[in-house]
Amino acid sequence: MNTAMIGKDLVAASATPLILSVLLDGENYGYEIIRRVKNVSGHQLDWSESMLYPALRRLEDRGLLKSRWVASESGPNRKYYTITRQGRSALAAERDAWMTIHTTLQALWEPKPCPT
Amino acid sequence: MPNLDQQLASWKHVIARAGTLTGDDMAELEGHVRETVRHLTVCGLSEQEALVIALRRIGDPGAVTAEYAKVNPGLAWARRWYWMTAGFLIFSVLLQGIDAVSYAIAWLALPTGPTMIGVSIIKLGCFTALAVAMFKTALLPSSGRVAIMLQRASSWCSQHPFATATVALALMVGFRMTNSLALAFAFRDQRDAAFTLSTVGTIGALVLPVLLFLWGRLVNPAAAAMQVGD
Repeated sequence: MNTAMIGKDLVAASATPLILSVLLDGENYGYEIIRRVKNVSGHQLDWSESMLYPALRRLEDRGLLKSRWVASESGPNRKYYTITRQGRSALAAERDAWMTIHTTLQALWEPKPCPT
Repeated sequence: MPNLDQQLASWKHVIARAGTLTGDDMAELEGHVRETVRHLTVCGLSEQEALVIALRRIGDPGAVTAEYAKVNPGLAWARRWYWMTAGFLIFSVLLQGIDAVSYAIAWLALPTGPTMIGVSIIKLGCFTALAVAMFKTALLPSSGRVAIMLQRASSWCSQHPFATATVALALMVGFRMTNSLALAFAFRDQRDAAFTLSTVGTIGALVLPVLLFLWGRLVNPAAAAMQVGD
């Protein structure tokens, strides 16, 4: 199973909670965020960069993230993103929504006992 | 074989041409590519191979610029307004400059000293010469020396907006003062001196802040190599 088999809409919808959750651990920059998601998903979620940065910008425009440029000694400057308080409450709302869907689907997919 | 920076620059040029990324966005994307290249070369690939993979991962430039267009909706018009404002500023300075040159020529060249009609004719000549020069410049081949000089100058101005604004303001004030003195002395016209501050002040107060604000939106020091509105 790879991202190609997960629908585009689902990938897009899950981007927000995934990004916010990664940033819960502290500020981070784009390259690392993608790497983290890839690792944690067991390489099943392989985001494209062209999707990530506009998504980060949208979250920043909504006030869920804030960003700052940091000069890097050994490489290019990096834009670090931090989750805001508004972001944390948005993440809590997303979590509730996803858990609702998850438990409903799980209940529907539970193997039913054979009728005897 | 072109090196990493050159190949990256030509890719950046393609992305920037769509006009949907701000300087900040370009810098972020470039930083990402460089970091990918660094990571891959550590894993054993050559720089060339790493760059090919890194750019491939970013995806089709059309798709990238389309995604950014959604998050930068007003950028195209902000860019146009920047250039219109810059053009207005340059023209204002040139206007004052032509006035100053015309008075100087009238002073030195006319046998009876400067007269209103004499100065007007000289001004007309200067404007015509300027118009012809601008048209010729616009038609120059893009590889020509003048074109490259203009490109470097506009690039420098984009990266140093405060210096550019100061120079422009200084030129305008300088020319205007000279013109007012010339008028006051030659034509015993004191009123013009009063217009000096109002003209320069209006232009300075309205145009320069707009220009600087738009610069802040469009260009970022981290993307110093990129040109605005390319």
